[in-house]
Amino acid sequence: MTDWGRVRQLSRAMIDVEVEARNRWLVLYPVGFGLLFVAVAAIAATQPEALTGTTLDSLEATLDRYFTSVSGPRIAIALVVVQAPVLIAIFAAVVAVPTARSLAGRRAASGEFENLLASPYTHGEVFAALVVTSFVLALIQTMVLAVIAVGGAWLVLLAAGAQFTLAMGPVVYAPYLVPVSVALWAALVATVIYLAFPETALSGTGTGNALLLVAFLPAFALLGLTTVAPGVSPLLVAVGGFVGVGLLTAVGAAAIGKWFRPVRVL
Amino acid sequence: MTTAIVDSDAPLAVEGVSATYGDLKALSAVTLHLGKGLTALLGPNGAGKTTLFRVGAGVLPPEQGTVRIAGRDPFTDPDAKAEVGYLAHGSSLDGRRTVRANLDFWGRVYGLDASEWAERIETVAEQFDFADLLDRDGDALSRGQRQRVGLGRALLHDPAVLFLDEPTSGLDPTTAQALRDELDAVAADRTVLYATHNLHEAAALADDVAFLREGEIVAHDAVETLLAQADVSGGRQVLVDAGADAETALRSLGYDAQRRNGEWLVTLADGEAPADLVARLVDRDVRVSGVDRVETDLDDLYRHLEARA
Repeated sequence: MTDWGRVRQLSRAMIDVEVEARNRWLVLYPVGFGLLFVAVAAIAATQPEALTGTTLDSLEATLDRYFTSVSGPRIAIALVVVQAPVLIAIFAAVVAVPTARSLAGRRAASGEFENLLASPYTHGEVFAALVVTSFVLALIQTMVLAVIAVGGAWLVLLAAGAQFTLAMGPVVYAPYLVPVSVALWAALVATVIYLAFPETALSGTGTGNALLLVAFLPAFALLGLTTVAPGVSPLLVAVGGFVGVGLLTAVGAAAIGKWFRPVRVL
Repeated sequence: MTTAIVDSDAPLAVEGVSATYGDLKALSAVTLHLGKGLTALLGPNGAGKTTLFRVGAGVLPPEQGTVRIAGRDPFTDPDAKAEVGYLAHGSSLDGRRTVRANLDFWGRVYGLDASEWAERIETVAEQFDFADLLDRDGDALSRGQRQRVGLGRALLHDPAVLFLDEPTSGLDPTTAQALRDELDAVAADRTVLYATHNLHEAAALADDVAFLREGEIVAHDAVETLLAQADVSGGRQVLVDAGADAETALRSLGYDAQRRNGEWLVTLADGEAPADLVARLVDRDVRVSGVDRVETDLDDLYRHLEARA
């Protein structure tokens, strides 16, 4: 039976190690992407023709939902409102996968995983701690990105004189909520892949890549959803993501308990 | 030192354990009851030593049978694993971090409080002579240094039962001897199961020896008892002066001789009289320099048990 107190103890130890080892690189990456997002928003404001037709249609369709008047760059504003949560969610998945790979893969390759399995935790607790650690590290980076990208873009919007309707609430918190479930799913899938199929995944074979696509599935689904149905509530997307990924995580955890054989990794 | 063979209330009790890797039977009905002291686990490569360590330490579940650490199942009960120190074959260290940071991590993993693990780090660093390496990055250590740190890590939480998989393999003689001295002290109040291919080391260190062959324990007892019971004659060796004629003569007589210090060394089979060989060599004008009686040792016993397969 999983003791979540022990999972927390092991996760904290691993998170501290990773934060210390990665040092400034942990935040430089999301800071860079955050600034890139602000730059893209600026380009979209000055050269909206650089965006694809589908994206433009999607952005235009949602503008009236949140803005009563806009004196500044409409497309840039819409980009921030519609695309930011999804782009940040994709970033969360993109960050969670290599983090999980690094955590699980490196420990498996170095023999540290064997020592972890010999330490006072059940296999389920070790596995859960690896997922939690990847998830938390991905989330830290994602939140740094969200603060810089969305915060920077909002400053531009306010400076442009944008006025908002009361329905603005979800737009404010969506960039911080939507990526959470996406990061959790990516961390879970990537940890499973790199523990259950270390050779396949690490060799970069077609099979490994196909398995990794599963990790990105919710992020890509979000992108498709907001393109096809731009009016969908970000709150609904966030809650739906929690429920969906929560169920998938429960199924995945049960499958791990049933089929995971650590001897593959040792 | 106390004998390591005790009853089923032993700190480490392995009872009828079997394990497979796919179609390969790695362990077959292995039973071992170990008390305090050091038991050397011997056997050829692929005999199942590493699997036995993994199952014993709760890293892998047994397919059949039971493992108990102080009466508890290490695979399902993390409290049982808290009593286990485990050094896998090949020490693992996070090369990005210092030795002290690595040990800090394991102190936290084992739930020691900060002051306790800081003290333990100093203790094991002194014990295994790596205090001067504590602030060095893991990547900067030699293999011998990593092994010493690995042993320190395995003992950090002061476990009652230790599994050590070839801790001295690949070390220079001086370092290996230093580790052996420490292991001797460590085993005084712990149960230590220790895999090695070094029979001289096993003979010098172990209270008991267990032979594992094709997943089965074929012998387990005190070294002296095993040697006395095995009926393995150390036999006699005939020493023959080196020379082209000697080698040819020995080959023609069907002997597989070893060259040592300018002589050929022929080990006779059980019951074979040295006089017969000496007479046949003299007939061929080969000079025989002597006949020695060789005491039975762990080396003979190992080959004897291996040959019984």
